[in-house]
Amino acid sequence: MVLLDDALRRLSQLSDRQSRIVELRFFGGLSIAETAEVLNISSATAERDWTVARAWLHREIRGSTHA
Amino acid sequence: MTPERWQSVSDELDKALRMQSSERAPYLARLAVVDPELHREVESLLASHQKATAEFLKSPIAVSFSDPESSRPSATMLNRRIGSYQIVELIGTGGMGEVYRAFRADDEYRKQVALKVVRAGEGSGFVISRFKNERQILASLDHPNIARLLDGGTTDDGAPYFVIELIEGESIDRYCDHHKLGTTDRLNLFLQVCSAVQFAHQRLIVHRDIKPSNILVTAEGTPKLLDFGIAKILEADAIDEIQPTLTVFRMLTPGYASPEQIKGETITTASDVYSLGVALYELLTGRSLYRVTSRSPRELAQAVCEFDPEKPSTAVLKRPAERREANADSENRASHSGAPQKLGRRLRGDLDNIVLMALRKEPQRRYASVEQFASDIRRHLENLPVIARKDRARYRAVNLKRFQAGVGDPAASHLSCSPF
Repeated sequence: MVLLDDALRRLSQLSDRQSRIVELRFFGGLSIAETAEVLNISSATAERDWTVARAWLHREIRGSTHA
Repeated sequence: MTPERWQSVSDELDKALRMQSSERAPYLARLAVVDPELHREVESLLASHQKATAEFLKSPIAVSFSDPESSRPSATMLNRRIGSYQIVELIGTGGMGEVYRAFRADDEYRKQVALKVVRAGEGSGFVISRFKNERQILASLDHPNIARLLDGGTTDDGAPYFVIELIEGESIDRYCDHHKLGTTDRLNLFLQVCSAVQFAHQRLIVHRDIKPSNILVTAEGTPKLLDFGIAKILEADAIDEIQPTLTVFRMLTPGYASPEQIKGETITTASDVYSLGVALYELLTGRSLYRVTSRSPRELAQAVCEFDPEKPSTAVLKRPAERREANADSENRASHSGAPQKLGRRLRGDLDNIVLMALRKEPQRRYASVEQFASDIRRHLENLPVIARKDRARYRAVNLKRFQAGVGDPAASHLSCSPF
């Protein structure tokens, strides 16, 4: 969780919206539609940002294979 | 990376993910020519996307860091020697890495220690900096009730490690139950925990994750507070750097997190007073503070932010003691003072007021320090008048009103206790 905490803080510096989406989904237990409503964005945008943020967080937390 | 650059990476990644694999390869090849750096980043994230299972970030509980992928390095560690220490066995995994039982190879007594190795993947400099932070924090905490830092260094592979006192014991709640401790003994044990937290607070260190499972009691009956790994020194620049909304991620254990931790507000020593209050509530009553039927973080967050906890003396009468684990000896739990009625009488008055004062929603209305909290418990034990008083009706009315406003609309009540 500490790693996630750190990674999310770094993500928020890249994209505040993406980090908020992760907060709402992961900690708030909100669905994509609910998340979109809270942030006043479309569901498509919420889904897209969620997917990208997840990939980034997975790389940061699980260790990367990129050069 | 700048936010603008990250936006480009996000866009390209999104595009690539929407493509069939047949069109993706030529697309990536073109990107490699146009912008090699962008291409490398997108390739790397595509790989992570494929590796991320459906469980990843599904719920806070799912991020256990104990999946096969993350525990793989441990097998290679066994029987290895790190510095002067010989690894014996893996005893735990956590967010920062693995913890091993080890002993000092050049010590004739072979005294056993816990050796924590930080999992350092490529490009995880932030892990190392966090680790260094933890090492410095622990080194300044020399107290009989805090697990001691003994040594530290870097492995041959460059992974930082540190050596801490090996605590063999059971969590404080189980200890109290197994030893059938009465209320006074529980309070005395708890006072030792308070002294450890107070000691850390005097050094501007907030624990942030106090809970019974982080407090082990040794065979000699000494409680030891573990895991200052997430503690942060209350430096002004450290606070500035943390965005308030993100402190919500420090909510590692929702059942013990304070309302301000859940709301993402500033965490202070008062947050530890609250978490100590939750621990004391459970030690004295054998019941959880909030009866939340679902495990949804949302409902728990609402309970922590909105509901007035039931008085300990009432809780023991109304609710049966909970089993902590399937085979727990529930007879021991909370029946430490005999029948529920007898326990209720013991808790009624002073102890109700003391526990509820530590658990107030507003940090400034709790005990001003752990020292004050502990002093009030001591006054109670010496039959002196305590400072804690029943909460005034005005505040309770406000809380009730807030709660009622949120009832018909779960989303609204969730938002009322979240920072967004």
